[in-house]
Amino acid sequence: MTRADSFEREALPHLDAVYRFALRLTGSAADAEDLVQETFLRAYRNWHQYEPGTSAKSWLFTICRNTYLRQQERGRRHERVVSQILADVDAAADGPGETHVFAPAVQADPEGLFFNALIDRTILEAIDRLPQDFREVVLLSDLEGLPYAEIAGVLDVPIGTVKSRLFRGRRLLQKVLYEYAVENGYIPAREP
Amino acid sequence: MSTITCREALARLYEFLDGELTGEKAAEIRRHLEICEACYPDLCFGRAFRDALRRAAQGQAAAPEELRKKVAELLRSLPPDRDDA
Repeated sequence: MTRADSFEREALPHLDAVYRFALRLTGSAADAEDLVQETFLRAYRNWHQYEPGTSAKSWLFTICRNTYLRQQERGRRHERVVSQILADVDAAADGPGETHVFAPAVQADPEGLFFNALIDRTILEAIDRLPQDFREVVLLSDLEGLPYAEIAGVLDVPIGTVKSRLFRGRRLLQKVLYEYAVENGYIPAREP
Repeated sequence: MSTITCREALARLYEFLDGELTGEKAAEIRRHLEICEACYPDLCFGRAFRDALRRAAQGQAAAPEELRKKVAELLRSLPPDRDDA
């Protein structure tokens, strides 16, 4: 089988997934299309480095993300600072302890029924606004269903980091969605 | 009888929901979350949250047909078996 054949069979079926990931990373359809083309070009050139039998989807996500980071070098430093501030604020808001879900939302709506009232676009837009460190893990886990070990590989961080970013990213997202739900009357506002 | 604490069960809630725990550990965490009055709302809430995200993921757009064509053309324009290594 030629390189083109195996690439077409193993890598190209993941075009939609890579596009979705790129779209949520860049926040723009035009940028996502450029990023996808660059990703597949690099992937094809480096196809000999892909280990058959491993997840081609994760491998493509890794290339996509690295390409994006290279393009965003400067913006990235800024986002890191923002993301740290948000993480600190978020941690302080919930106080110490191992709170994993956003406590005020669970108290107001223990079954999380308000999530059903949110339309997909509202949820996706809230994800788009998460700081990048958190957005990436939420995209890879919640939207693409990758196991923690594969996410750790894509992001080049330990599994423990994946877990803690998922904790905080999800909690931040729950907070944003909860506030949206309260503002729009899906859940009654709590007395101060 | 649950042998784990609320603290541990809640700390591992997402690992449980994400299918990262297997065997006896997963069963133990599930038992605790399902019977513990204090923890049960967090389990329901976590599930509802995850389900909403899964549902939103299904609503995402597929790659535009134009992009699919561009990528296919891009690959065809490259030498078929060139190795950059």
